[in-house]
Amino acid sequence: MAEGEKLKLAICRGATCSGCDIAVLDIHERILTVLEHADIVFAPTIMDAKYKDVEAMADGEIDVCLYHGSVRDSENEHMAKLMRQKSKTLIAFGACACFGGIFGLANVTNKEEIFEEVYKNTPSTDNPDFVTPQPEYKDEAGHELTLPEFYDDVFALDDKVDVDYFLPLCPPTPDLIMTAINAIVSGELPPKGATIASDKTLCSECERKKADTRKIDKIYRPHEVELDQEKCFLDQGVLCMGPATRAGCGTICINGNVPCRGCSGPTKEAFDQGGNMLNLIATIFGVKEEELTEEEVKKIFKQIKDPLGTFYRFTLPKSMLRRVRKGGAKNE
Amino acid sequence: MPPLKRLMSLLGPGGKSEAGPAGPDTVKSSKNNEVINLKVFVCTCNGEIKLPEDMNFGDGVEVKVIDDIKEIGSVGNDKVVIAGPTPRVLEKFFDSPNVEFVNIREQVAWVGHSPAKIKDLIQGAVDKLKNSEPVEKKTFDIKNKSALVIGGGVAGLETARQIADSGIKVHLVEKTPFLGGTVAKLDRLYPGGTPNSHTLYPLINEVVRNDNIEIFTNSDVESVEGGLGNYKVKVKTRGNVVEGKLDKKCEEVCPVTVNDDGIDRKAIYYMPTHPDSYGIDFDSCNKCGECVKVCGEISLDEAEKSLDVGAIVIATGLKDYDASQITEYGYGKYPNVLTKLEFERKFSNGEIKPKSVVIVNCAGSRDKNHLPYCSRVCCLLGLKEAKLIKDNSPETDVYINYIDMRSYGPFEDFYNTVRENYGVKFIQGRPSEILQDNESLVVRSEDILLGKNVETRAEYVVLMTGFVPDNEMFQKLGIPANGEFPVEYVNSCRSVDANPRGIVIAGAAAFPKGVAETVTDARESAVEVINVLNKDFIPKKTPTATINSDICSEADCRICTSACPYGAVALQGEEVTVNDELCMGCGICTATCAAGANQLDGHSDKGTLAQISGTVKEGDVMAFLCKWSSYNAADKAGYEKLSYPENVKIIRVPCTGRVDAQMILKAFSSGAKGVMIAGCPPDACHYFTGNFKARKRVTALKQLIEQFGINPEALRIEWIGKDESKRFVDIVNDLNSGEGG
Repeated sequence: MAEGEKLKLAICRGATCSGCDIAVLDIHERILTVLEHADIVFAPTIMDAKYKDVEAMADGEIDVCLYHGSVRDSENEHMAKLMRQKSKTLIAFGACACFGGIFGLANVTNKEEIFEEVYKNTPSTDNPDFVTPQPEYKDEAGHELTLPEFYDDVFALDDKVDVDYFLPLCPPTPDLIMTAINAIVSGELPPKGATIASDKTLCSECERKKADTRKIDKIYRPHEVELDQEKCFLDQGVLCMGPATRAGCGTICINGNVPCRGCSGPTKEAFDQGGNMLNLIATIFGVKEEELTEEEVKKIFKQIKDPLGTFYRFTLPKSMLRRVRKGGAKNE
Repeated sequence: MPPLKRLMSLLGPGGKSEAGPAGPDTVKSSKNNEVINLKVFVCTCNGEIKLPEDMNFGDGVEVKVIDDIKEIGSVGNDKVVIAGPTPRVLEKFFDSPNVEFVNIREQVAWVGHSPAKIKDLIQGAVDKLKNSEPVEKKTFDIKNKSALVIGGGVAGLETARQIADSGIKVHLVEKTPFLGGTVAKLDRLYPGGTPNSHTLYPLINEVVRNDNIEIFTNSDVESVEGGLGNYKVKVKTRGNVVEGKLDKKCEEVCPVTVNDDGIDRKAIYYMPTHPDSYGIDFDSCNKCGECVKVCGEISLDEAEKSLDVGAIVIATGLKDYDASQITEYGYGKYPNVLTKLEFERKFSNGEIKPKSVVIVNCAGSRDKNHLPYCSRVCCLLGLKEAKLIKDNSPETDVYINYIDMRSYGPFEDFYNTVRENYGVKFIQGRPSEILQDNESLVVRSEDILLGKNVETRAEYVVLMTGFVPDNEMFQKLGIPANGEFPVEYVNSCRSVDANPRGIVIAGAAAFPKGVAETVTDARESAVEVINVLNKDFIPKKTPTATINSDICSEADCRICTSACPYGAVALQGEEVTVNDELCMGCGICTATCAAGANQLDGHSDKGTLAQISGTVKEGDVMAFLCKWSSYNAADKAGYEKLSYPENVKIIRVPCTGRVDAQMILKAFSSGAKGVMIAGCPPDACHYFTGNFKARKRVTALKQLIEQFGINPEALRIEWIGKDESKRFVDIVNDLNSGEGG
């Protein structure tokens, strides 16, 4: 980039709650510094922008695109591909773009079941003909109307396009965003494919005291116990995703006496955040393991309500399990 | 606000794996990027095994077909796949951690499966090695060729004598002023009642005479640093008396009187063992200096010495359970209720001449409120006290209250003799309480044989309390014991597949033992030490876990430290580290780590996951079998020519405790319609609890896969012992039929 020339920055949205847009604004007065170095050329949430404006750009014209949200429908995919084409650097911004995120929990079901629920079964729905959104519709007057196609699955950004960097968290913290922006502005970029966070686990940044012997006798949900601010959540029987989660957030939830929910995703050497965490909890659950009968073991694990939602809250589309349901062993 | 600089430093290379968090498709990437030279030897076992026509296992893989595994020769430390007979046979010839075995005889040819299966199994092994870091063979260097023996009782003396006899220097450290330990305080030993002088005196003489043994009495091991082959030890001696100066004056002037297990003595005293001088009991001595005034040879000054040793023997013996804890027996409240040692010493010293005695066996033993275990030797000690009384005073009435008489092995004869020839009366029943009634004690108990409650009156009651470990040295040396006898440590030390240990536990420190058993045990411990110190280096036997400090540091979650059955994974300062000596290579900690920071040599996550995806085809049944039990059952099905479906694919694991969620999910996502994890029968896991941990993980995981719409019965954990081939076949048939359990 020539001296004095400004970076062209885009913020593109997929299936998102828009929290990531707000996160960018949350860098506060530092946005003024950012704007000294960058022009925002496309950001539908905060400024008027048309897709056709982007389509009209030359390939690689945008320097950096922050894509937030997962890929849920054909519009998301179209924009992901378009932004890839038009951007020199594409960053998966936030847990949804990195791993599929909260929306990814919909992968326990599929399009058919979701439509059935939303357009038929919900008590407030009156839809006797079971009309559901169609990608194309031609009315009697001959007008052609189109809607994005709703997919069976929710995808992470890199399932669809090549991604240069990953900036996890839900949403990314202002400090982490500034780290990324500084790296881009200074040109001191990490190797392609890097995750802009820590390599270590969250526990390595957490200052809570851990018991000498790690064990869990009973699992509590956070509202069921008075939480000691000094002690590790797991020692208090409260599920905390720290051991299976990458550091980089600055333990902000934990500082607020809320256990980690895993939005930073797994470490670089771990391949299934949810399975790994469940596995770890199972290992230290119930001390006198040799004295338990099969039935007792089953009973204690019933204490974990909704293991899938708890352990894969942000990473379900990246779990190995998702692929199982497509083939292999099925329930009757 | 965390400084930006710190965050910037976190942007290290390779922040994310190429395949993203979903899992490595690393086989493909290695094909694309680099050529890995990997040799595959496929043995036909002299034409017995029919091989597939397609033997192409990807780029950089050289395949050599042989008829006999002897043709392979040495493989050094290269990455090599050997397909042929079962690993049980192949491990006799190859013990490199970089060799991956594929069983195409017992688990393919002999069960009538087609050559196509061989292709899949070898492909899995190839993929595993391609995705595994080469493992360097580790060795322990034995720098210091001398030994430290802690404890100067029978166990320590005998161990020291045996080691020193083989020409190795021994430093023998005894805490009290005199050698001899607990045995020196006894009058006699069971069964015959042989005075301890028969055993102890010649043993002490041999030890003192041996130039290879340096004796430190009245000394403590202050600190120990280092590991096998290279320990630095600090020994502190708490003053001494020059040998040979026997002058009763020092004892007379000493103002401190101590009750030493029933016998009153001064803080400076004499004991007929070694050294042949007065000794000062510094636990009681108040350093008044009166003795120094009458004898210039006495020194109250401490001295410290540093020793470099290669191995350490803990022979610190045991302690009596505190009898006052059993409040209903009135110890400490009624003066005539005594412990076994107090009674024996008072009686043989002539201090008491009882008219009647009740001996209470199992005082506090086999009792969940006190000691849940049996101390094993107390029944015999009770018989010994009974015989001691009757030998000296046949007219004394002696009763023994017992729960069960555990006079095991040859000691049944001893029991019969005491019962039949000595007129000792036996009451089967644990006393409920002991009361004082005027001059006599009343022992209330049930008599199970008579079916009624009885009250036995006696002048004295002797409590045969159980024993508790002396934990001081275990704690100081980091031996995992948790306040109990280090039974598991001792068992794992003596396991053939264990790594050599620098710390050996001898005699009753490991668990209560009689004198004869202690001597045998001491000799065994000495052999272990001699075997270590006679070598310059010792290769490590088992694969070990390592912890990646890029991911796990600054104390981290530490959950693996609680998962290790050996205390090998422990916090050292701020970091979790693996002790190579203690690690048995089970992989329980590796499977526990949720961050992929803990990896077991030869069974890394990446390697194992690649093996699974390389092996499994759509509709297969994946069986993870523990190498100690279940895998042998599958082999047995081979030589019994039993048949099971060809789509049952087996992966051999060190322990079911190594199988983690990633492996199971990988098997399902690679197309498996059923997954079985099978290990040792309950309580029989080679690594104590690996199978129970696996059961917990599988149970939890079943709940999870059910949420995904997978029949939880498609995932099973089973115990299959090494001979249970038919059970193995039944279970895989069941899984294959898709009907589940």
